[in-house]
Amino acid sequence: MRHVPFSPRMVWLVRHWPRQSFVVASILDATSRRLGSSRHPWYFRRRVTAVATWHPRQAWPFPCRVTGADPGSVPPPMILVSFHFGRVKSLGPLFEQLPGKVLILEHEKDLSPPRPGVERVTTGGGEMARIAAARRAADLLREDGFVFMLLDRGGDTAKTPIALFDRTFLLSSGAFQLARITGAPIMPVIAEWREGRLEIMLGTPIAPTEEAAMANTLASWLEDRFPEGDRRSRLIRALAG
Amino acid sequence: VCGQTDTGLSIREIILGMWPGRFAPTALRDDVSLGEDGLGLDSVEVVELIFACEDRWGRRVSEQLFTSPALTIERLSQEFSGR
Repeated sequence: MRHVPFSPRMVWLVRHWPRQSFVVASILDATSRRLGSSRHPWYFRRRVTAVATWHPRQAWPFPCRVTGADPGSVPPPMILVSFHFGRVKSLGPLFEQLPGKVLILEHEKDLSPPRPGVERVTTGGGEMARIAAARRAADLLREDGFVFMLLDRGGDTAKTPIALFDRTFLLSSGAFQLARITGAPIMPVIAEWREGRLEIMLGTPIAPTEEAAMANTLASWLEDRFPEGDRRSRLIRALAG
Repeated sequence: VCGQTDTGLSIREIILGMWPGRFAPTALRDDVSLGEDGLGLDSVEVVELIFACEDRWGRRVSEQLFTSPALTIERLSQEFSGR
């Protein structure tokens, strides 16, 4: 992960004028985009004061740890999936380390800031936009690339039911269908802010098979990783939309 | 019913072969949309059909195909017959 020094003057500025931090955010945003760093402006505006206070000597962007697998050895092709949960907008450090091209499929262009080496395709422009996006994703997976998408809040897309936490949720079918037609496995990804740093959890790859079977495997992984408690409640709220 | 061209007939056969029993042959008209307003294929299924057609005729569809207002059997037929 690339580090951008967080100057003492900037720490002082944010600590004393937190309400003006959006100005600082704008300046740093422009700087870090040029340097290809990993954070999101929204994230910065909400958290910069805390980060500056807790880690005045920490390099910027925020510290990050990836668990479950080494991102550099995740075998392509792979479909990475997540949900509107935790710090899903801060997955830049993961995308940077994957050994191949990365395509982000997003309903609107709000998931990730522009990053070098990461292509973004919007699916929210109607049926033909969804077909074009699916075509691009399938092409990239056939070329041993990585595709990332969110499974919840998919708009008008086809849905796959998933039995999870004693309830049934409807997830976008796109990832499961892409897995079926390209033979690429699905890897669940969860990003959360824990213990003062971003933690990105990579799941076990789910082999391409029938949609229902893949959904069941995904449900088992989520139930193992989200025991009863606040985290599970937040995930349920996210999945329920 | 589609059947005006050999390409159109072949596309119809591909659709019936990929999703046996899902569509009545009479529903596969030239002007019917492949998507939600017509046959009801979702985006990945349409891509799956395009891949099958590309394998059949040995060439890729143009990017212009995706700027059409709607994808129909006729539009796909024109793409592969070069019209």
